[in-house]
Amino acid sequence: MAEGLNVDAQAIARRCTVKSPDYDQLTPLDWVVLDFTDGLRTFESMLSFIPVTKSDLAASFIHLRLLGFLTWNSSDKSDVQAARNQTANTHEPQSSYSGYVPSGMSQSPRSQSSGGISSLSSAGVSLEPAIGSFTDEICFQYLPQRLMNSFRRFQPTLVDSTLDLSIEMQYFTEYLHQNLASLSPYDLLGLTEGQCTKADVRQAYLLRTKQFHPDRYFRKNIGPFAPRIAAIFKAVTGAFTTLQSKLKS
Amino acid sequence: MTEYALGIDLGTTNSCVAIVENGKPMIIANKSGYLTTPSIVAIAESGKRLIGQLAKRQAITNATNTVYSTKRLIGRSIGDPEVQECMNTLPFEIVEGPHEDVRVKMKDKLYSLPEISAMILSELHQVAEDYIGEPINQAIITVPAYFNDAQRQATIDAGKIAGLDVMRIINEPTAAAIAYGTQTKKRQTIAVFDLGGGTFDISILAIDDGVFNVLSTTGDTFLGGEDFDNRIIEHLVLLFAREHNIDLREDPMAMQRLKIAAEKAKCDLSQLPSVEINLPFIQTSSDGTALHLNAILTRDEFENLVIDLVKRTLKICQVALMDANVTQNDIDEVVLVGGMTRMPLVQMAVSEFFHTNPAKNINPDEVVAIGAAIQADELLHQGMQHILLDVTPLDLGIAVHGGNFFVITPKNTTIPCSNSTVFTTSFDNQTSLKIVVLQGEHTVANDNQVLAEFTFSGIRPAPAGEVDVEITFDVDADGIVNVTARDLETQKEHVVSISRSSNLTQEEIDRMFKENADYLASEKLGEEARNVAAHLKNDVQALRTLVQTHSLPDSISSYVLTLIKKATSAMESPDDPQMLKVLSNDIENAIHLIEESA
Ligand SMILES: Nc1ncnc2c1ncn2[C@@H]1O[C@H](COP(=O)(O)OP(=O)(O)OP(=O)(O)O)[C@@H](O)[C@H]1O
Ligand SMILES: [Mg+2]
Repeated sequence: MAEGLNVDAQAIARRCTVKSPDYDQLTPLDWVVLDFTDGLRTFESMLSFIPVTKSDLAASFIHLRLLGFLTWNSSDKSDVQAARNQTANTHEPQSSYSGYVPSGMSQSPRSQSSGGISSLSSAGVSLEPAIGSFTDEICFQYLPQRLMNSFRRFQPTLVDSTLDLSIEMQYFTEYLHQNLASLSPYDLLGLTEGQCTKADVRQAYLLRTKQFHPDRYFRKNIGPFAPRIAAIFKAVTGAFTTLQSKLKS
Repeated sequence: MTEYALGIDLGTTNSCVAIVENGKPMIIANKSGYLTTPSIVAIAESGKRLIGQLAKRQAITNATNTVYSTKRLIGRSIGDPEVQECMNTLPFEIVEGPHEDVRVKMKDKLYSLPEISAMILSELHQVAEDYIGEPINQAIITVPAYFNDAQRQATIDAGKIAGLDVMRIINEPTAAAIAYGTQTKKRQTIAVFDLGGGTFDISILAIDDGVFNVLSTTGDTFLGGEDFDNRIIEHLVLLFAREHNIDLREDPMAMQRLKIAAEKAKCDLSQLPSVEINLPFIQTSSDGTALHLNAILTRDEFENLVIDLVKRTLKICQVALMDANVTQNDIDEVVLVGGMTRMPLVQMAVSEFFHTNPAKNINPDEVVAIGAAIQADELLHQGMQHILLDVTPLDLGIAVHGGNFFVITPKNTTIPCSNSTVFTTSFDNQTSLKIVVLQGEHTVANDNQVLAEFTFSGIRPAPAGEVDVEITFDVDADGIVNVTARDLETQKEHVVSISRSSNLTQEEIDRMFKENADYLASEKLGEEARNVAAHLKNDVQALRTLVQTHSLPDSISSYVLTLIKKATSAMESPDDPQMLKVLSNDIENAIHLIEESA
């Protein structure tokens, strides 16, 4: 998964002028990362001089992204298509952070930006999963609005970039797992009560299946996430069953 | 990284191996050039193993050392009524093993059923490796959806004995659905109707956007093509008995011939309105005259003989629909699997029942192996082509007071899953709870299969019904069950992982693995030796000619003659390729020497 790392300059600009509550949530490490995101350094090069573990740094990246400070864009759709055609049958191992490249952002994020999100020339192409239109990124969008804030505030403790699981999924998995007991069937499926049909429920369940069915990680090294992913899948299946029968009546 | 994984359909009558190569699933032809391999194993007079077409060909003349239909016996215990029935109908010897399990006898040696399956698996494995040209270790093996834990475990044992890493056991109808479903993009509900040689399975699945959701699965592990054959056999035996007052069932060789003739008649009747069955010299009468069996069987007659079997499959289909919570009209497509679905009566009955014509372009013999290969490739490479949501095939639960079966995880629950129920003590001051984990479908606990037994102790002495114990069943994606008992008062827990109840001990499996591997290695050595021997034969011939056409000094000619003698005797039973190579080398040197000195 090769993606470009980008600083959402406008988001930062907004937050620097308007005192946003999110702003208070930056950890010291987040600040350091922001300071060094100068458009030239890669994740790996940052790791070489910021004295933290890879996991912590990755967590900080995610955190900043959730808060809207950083984005990393997937490559162009047409590239993806081309890559898929070319490599129709090669199976790329998924490595979470292999291709993050810095964006063209040239200013320190703390200073006022003159605006505009710099365009990306990605160093690689990502092999988008052929199944439906699912990418790990969707998981962020598939939380109901009412949970977005708590998700943003969430501090993961398990993130480990050496695992065969994208950092996004690690973050999301830990969040869901920690809150399993308090999440409603709608929450689990990323739906809002009263605003979804039976078809939406099925659609959401299909998506969650693709994210959380243990077969997706068959004999993969996903460490402490294996039981959590299984637990989430079970909960999601339960939620699906509940809502299927509920929406019928 | 491993590139390939096999998909193996280990059938009652036919087995088949497939692989995904360059993204394309394909069946691999066996050594005889056929795409399916009869699930028949024999030991020849020489002690050599024969498998598939080779075994089938000699079945009549070597009836007692040829075993088939062993899938009907695998994972069962000797007391099983089905096993008892097989003992009456199958011509080879079936005996009790050390764990009340079943063993079969060939050439005075007893084999466990996983060993027999392993021989077939090894054959298919070898064929695939020869085709691909590199070692392949991982495989998915399919089983009837309705197989219980013991039958699945026995199949895994077979894989281990054959030296395979069994990635997973998947259900035959599910595999067929994958092979069918990966060709279509449409969202649909399908029924997979699989009538094979020995088992009948029906599964209802919803296929949607790459997710294969099994809604229900059920079947009968003792209903298949052989029952159809048996009806014809019974019919012929009766005819013969009426005419000659002789019971052919007492003669294994005659039964073997009848079986072949019956199956052939059955298959022919799928095309023809009637067939003639001729078995000359099937018996000798008491006065020594030869007796022949001549009969005509029409399709109508045959259909009458088996109509109840076909009706039985439809009844099971009805159950599958109900379990899936759908009706006939919800079924968009029916996928027919298994050789028996070539029978017109079966096709007609199925179309009528589901109000739809069966899906076209599906090869009922190959689709299961193809689906298994696709799934194996998917698990291996995570190509994100599809996800399979499978279900528990049978009810899971525990025995409760009064000898009843209390179901905790009902059949057709999507796995992985987790279900719990709170139980309480049934008498005063009860400090322990005996937990018997069961699998099956009978309300009486004893009629189900016991998966495990354990005791949960340390409960506070109290009046009956005061202490609550929660029992949780977890089933993972591989179908492995974990049972947890938790005292809700103290939160004390007892977790039992139910490794499937195998009929073999680890030592036995290890020994059988070694025996199989040794046999295969010696076979390979033998083959190499035969190749070297063929080469050596040419050399010897060349040397002989040289000796005759050249006048050689005595010392040399005597050396050459000993050499020829040695080589000739070594070639009689070529088994040591190394020795043959040395001889071949010496002879070639001698040839050089003579040619140069001339
Ligand atoms: N043309 C035909 N008409 C009728 N029956 C046929 C025909 N061809 C094959 N059969 C029968 O189909 C059966 C074999 O089917 P198949 O190979 O699918 O079974 P299997 O996969 O070995 O068994 P199972 O799936 O039960 O383990 C045999 O009983 C065979 O006689
Ligand atoms: Mg079959």
